[in-house]
Amino acid sequence: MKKHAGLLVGILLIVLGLVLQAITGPLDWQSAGKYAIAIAVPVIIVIPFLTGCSGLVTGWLGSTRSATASIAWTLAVTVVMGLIRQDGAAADYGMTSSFPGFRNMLSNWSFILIYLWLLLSISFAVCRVCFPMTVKKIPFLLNHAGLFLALTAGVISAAWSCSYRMTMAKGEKLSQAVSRLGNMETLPLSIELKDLDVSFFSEADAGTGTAAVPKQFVSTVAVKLVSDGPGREFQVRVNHPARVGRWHIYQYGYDDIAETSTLLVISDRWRPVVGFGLLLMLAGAISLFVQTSRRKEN
Amino acid sequence: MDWQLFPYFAITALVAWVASAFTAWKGWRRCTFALSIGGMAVFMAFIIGMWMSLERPPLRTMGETRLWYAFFLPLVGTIIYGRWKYKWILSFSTMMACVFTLINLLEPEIHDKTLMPALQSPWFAPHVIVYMFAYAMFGAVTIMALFLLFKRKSADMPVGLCRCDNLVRTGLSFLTIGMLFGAFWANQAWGAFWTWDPKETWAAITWLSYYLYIHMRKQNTKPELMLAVLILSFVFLQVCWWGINYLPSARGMSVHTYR
Repeated sequence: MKKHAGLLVGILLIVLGLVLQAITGPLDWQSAGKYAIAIAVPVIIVIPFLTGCSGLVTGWLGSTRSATASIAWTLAVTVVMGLIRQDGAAADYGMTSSFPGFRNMLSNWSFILIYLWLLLSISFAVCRVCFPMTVKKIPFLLNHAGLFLALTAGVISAAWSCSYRMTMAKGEKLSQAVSRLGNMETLPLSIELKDLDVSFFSEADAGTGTAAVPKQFVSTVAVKLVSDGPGREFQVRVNHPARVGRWHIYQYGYDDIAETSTLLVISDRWRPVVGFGLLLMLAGAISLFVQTSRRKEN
Repeated sequence: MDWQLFPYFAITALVAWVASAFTAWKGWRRCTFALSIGGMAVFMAFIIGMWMSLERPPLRTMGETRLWYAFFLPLVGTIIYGRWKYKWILSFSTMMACVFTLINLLEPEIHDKTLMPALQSPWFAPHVIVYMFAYAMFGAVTIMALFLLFKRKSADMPVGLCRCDNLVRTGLSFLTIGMLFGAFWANQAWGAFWTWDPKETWAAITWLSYYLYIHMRKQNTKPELMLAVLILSFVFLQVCWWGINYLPSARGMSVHTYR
């Protein structure tokens, strides 16, 4: 029975997910899901410390068996996601209601429940292994805590962040932009496109007879926060965003005649936490390499 | 540096690598290292020359990534040979480097200087180079897994799996680093570390699959099953690397799709 617990838990979660999918439809990350994840994450973090890791269920959740089974199931649902064409951005936020919902895996209950099991497994494993802490356990802690932080903060970030697309002509000043769900919303800032400079590779660089390849497109923008005093001017280009208060502005695209520029305007308070989780994972990967190079073959 | 010169550099390097594989079987270690490093120096000279003449890292097209893969295979082989003294590894790495070089010789691409704005980032070169190194490592472990699965006696299995562990753990370190470099780059370019683009989904699948192997090794799992996971992981890796160009679920959906 213990040997097959991982298989049974996985099947149970998939079935439960399908039932929830049939009853409630996909999880709407912009409303219910947003609050559910805000409650679920602290619970997942705290629960191992409250319950300990020695009970029948809690001991199993922190075990390698649970870890292996949860990775296998996570892999399986992610393969489904990779093989089935996913719907667009609006669908990621629970706007479609198809059953079984495999075209919208990020809002699919089975997918979410399996990933929650993975998170719970990591949380219990950290609790089980890392107390008491020793130097030898540091790579384990970095890899597991880093992944946990990156995943949880990443989900919270996706649910709670604000992302807008703003397409504007030269000389135009806008404070309205299109949200992820396609709604036009008013932002607490205004952006004026002062200039758009598009440069192309020469025919000698790109090869004769080929279509013009853009070398760089740069938007010169004046940004003014509603709550702030005078506006500030920035040059925004690909890989070089501008930052004004809590807003980040990215160069996203331009039209064929280089008259309009499309900018992404994003506010995401959780992004530094995701970044910190990824840095922990980076340290974990380096420590895994160092540890492996010292391993003896036996 | 012109692509027309590639055959001269490639053949010189391949001859050196074939000779190094031969000397490895003979146990002439110094000779092996000298030949292998010599071949790599010649091959790298061509890559650097291309980099300078194109005025961008030669990492944009499939042919250019094959160039790096053909370079990293002997490098990985030499490191493994130096660290764990596997005589067979250089024969494998040379054979694979030959295949990838041959593809580039038979299917020469148009190499121009263009580099789309999104690729003009300091993250571009480290992201792809580290990934290619990890891919080379996983190529080596796949051959080892196939060898253990079909040729070896069961008595050799524990040592063989230990060898696989070392290669997987090293490859996974680099795969993780490459993936994280990509995440930091995506954050700078698109304002999100991860967007579940088809390429990213398959990168996650590959990553999870190798981690599945590492966790399975901590349990009393059947060796055959673990080796099968290694081979399946390499299939996932191929889907992630070039398979998504042909995958119906990814066609036209991925910003990473390139030929």
